[in-house]
Amino acid sequence: MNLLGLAFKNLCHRKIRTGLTILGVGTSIAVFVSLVGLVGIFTDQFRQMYKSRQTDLIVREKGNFDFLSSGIDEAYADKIIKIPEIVSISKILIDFSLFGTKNYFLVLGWDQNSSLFSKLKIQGRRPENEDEALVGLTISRKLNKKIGDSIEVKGSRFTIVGIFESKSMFEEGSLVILLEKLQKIKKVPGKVTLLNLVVNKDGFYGGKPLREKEAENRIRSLITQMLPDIEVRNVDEMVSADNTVNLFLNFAWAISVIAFITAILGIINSMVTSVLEQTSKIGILLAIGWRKSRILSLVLYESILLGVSGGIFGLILGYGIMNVLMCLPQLQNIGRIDYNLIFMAKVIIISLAVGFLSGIYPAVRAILIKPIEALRYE
Amino acid sequence: MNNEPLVEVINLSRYYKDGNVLALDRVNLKVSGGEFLTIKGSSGSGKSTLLHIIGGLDLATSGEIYFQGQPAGNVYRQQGFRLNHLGFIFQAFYLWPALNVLENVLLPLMESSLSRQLKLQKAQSAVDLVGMSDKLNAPVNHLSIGQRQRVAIARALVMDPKLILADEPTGNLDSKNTENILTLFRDLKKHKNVTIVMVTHEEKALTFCDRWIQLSDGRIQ
Repeated sequence: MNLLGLAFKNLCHRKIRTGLTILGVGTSIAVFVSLVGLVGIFTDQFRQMYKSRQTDLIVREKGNFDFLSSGIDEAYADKIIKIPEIVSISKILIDFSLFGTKNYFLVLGWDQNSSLFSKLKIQGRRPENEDEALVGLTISRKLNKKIGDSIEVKGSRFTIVGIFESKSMFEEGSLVILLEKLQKIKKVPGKVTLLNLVVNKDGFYGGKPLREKEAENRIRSLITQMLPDIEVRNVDEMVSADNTVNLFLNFAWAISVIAFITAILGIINSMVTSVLEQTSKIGILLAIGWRKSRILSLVLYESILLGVSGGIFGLILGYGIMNVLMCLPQLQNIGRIDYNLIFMAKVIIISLAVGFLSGIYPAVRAILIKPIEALRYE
Repeated sequence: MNNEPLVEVINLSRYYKDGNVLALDRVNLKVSGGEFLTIKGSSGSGKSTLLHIIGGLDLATSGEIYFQGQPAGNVYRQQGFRLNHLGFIFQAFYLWPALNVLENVLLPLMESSLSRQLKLQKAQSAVDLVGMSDKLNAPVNHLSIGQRQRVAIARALVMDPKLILADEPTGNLDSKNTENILTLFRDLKKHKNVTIVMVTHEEKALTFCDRWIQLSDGRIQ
């Protein structure tokens, strides 16, 4: 029998308290797993959207990260395309629109000849006139729309000329109309939200690919020297700087921190009660010559075991909650659950830390017990 | 029995409650190696206090204690001294309810650097010595009161201590179990030459020990 075995047996001996504590810690961890997991799905979908467009760099208004209010002059595209390494530029204007009473969808304005259309799997055709729209499969299913039907966006009616599938669930939940029409609807003539750049990566800049920081920085500096009121970002920077993603992530972490504090308090309560109950038994261990460090380790092992058990339970419960949430109509199409082993390992490490932190106070209480007082306790 | 004192207590006094209550009053005592000594006295006579101070669990207000000729204050502070030289038995047993008989006896050995195999051997021998080898894997909660005290004795014996300090070990036992435990103490003393200092108010114990002293109001009578 080793110390870990003794800690485990102690926990098993107090089945109900241990079970309830694990349940409490597990619920807290499950809140973290499900919230952060959902944000992860959201973020991955954002990344996937850019990947599916083969985006290398994105040009947008400097310092303004609100999609709905930011805008740059679409004429900038004509200047940037003169940089020899730029293969193509796609102009994108973004807006949101309410369909019916509760369904918000992304509305995208693209040039009629935009290369972005070629990245989609289109049934029907791309819009050629200002009163035509291409809708994502998600919208088509949710609103029960098919080719030939009409759809209204902010007071303008459009005929659906095509239904598209995309590698990005986000994009699939959007509607594409011609750029000029969306500029009119938004009352932003000549403006776009961002420019999507595809760069020639073969033999670029002395044979180095764009992904290398040096080459990427060269293109950035060329563009920003030419146009000082814009900024150039790569996909990872775009995703990490996205307001919506950050808002969700901060919200998820804020709730998770509260959940972690609840878990820590739950374990502290359980362990302090346990130390109090075992005062005389701890006293006898000290009397027979156990070192205080061993008593400290015993209590810490117990609380860490509680934390890790709660973490494992929380992972199962959290992924269970995510599966249930993903069945809800509002979340059905935001993506797939990623059973990421690194994330799971992080959750276990966090649970271990929760257990360790929770054990410090009860462990210190345990080693402050004086054998003679402990033996008089019962 | 060795005539050299294993423990020597000189002018030991202990005051409680800010010096208002005198629990031990200038007690002098020698315990020889291999001796079975009983300290007898009524409740509150100071006998448990004396035992606790001898065992290093409590501190004297004044006086001196020597263990094998060395000041106890010094030797008790040595790492592992209490573990290897002293065994404690209490009226309330203080067994770990989550553990079985063998695991309870193994508890002191968890501090030792012996191999796992040797630890198991020693624990099994100690359990065997108290006649509990048929209950090796029994949860202690399933044992009778007398059996529980035997497990506590095995735990005290497992490190082969020189001195066993027993505080009212028969206090919770019926007369048959009391006699069994006292017989066990006498046999241990005889076969293992272990020194036993036992505190009791049990008159029957006096016929099992080598020597007894009476403590009254903190003084040896």
